[in-house]
Amino acid sequence: MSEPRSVDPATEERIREALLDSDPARGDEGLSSREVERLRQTMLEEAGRSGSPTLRALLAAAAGILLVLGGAWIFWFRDAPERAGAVTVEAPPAPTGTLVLEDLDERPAADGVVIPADGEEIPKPAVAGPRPSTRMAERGGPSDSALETTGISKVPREMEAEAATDDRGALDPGDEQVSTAEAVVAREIRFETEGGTRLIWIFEEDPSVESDKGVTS
Amino acid sequence: MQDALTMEGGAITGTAETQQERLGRLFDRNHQRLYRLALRMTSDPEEARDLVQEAFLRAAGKPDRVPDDVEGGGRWLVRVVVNLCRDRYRRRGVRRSFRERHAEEAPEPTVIDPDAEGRNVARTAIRQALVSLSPRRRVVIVLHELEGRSTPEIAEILGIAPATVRWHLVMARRDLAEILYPESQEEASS
Repeated sequence: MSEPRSVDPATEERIREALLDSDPARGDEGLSSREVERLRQTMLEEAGRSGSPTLRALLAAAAGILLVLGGAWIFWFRDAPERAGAVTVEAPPAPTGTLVLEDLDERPAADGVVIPADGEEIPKPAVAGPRPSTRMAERGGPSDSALETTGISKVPREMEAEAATDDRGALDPGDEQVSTAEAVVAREIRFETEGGTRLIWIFEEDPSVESDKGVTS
Repeated sequence: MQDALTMEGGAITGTAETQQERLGRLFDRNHQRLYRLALRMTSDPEEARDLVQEAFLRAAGKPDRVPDDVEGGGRWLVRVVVNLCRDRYRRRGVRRSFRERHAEEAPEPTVIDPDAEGRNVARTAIRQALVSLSPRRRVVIVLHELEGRSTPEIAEILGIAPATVRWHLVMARRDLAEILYPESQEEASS
């Protein structure tokens, strides 16, 4: 910062005199008592509004508590139906066919039941009339309750329809075979495993045929 | 709330002074002095009242920032007034060079006339010339020439270095001389 060029002393003195002569405060009576009172009151009211630091801290703490309580209130109302006795039903876990298949493979075949081994092709029983699969398809496949008891997922309708179509070559209505077997398939259960599609037929006696009880395999 | 501890008979007794009492005391001690300063800075009584009110409202809004002692509180208020003047000065868009302001707004150079009418004209010209200075230079020359404060005192009040005060003082005189006594400045420069 360089030293500024100052005015000469005579000019400096003239400026001082001029400023003193034109001093706005000279002759001014200043603030009236009424103005002073109003200003004072305004300032103190403002101070009362803004409050002390302690009061401000208390207000901030109260606001925080209210915020927390508001959040808790919202959560409480969200769970209110359950507290009132409403039951939330959850979907059962997706059934798997693998466990059921293992059990069936090791179980000795009972009368009227054929359990195929892995990879074994099961000869279909000769039956009179429409093939079981066709009948099953007409009935809409195994019932949901039967599937639920075995834990096997229901076979898609497309697969059933496809199987019925494959068998149809030997099932022409005019080409019915008369079976020597007594049993007819009462129920067919088809399910998918890692090794492929598995079928279980449940037989029952055909009351119209008198013959020995037996198992068709 | 502020606690003032006093020794009485060897025991310390605490007397509590509320924030409002402290602000009231600050107001009573400083309002007339602050109004005079604001009036000298603005040459407008209404604007001076506004400045005083605004300064005390700021003190009321942030009382923690106001120094507790009387002198410190007074200095704090002066700085607030100067800062308020500076804000208004900026808002009015008069941050142009002094010579530009002089060419467009400053009154014609006036030779102070001894007769009454001439004196009134001269006073108006001087006040306008003073208002045309930047707030910092204005308050320095007002405090020095009209309130009779020394350079160290002004430095303490404004919170700046004494050398800065001297700089503003010299520059303010030079600016005023260029407005009020241009002929003397031309002679000095030649």
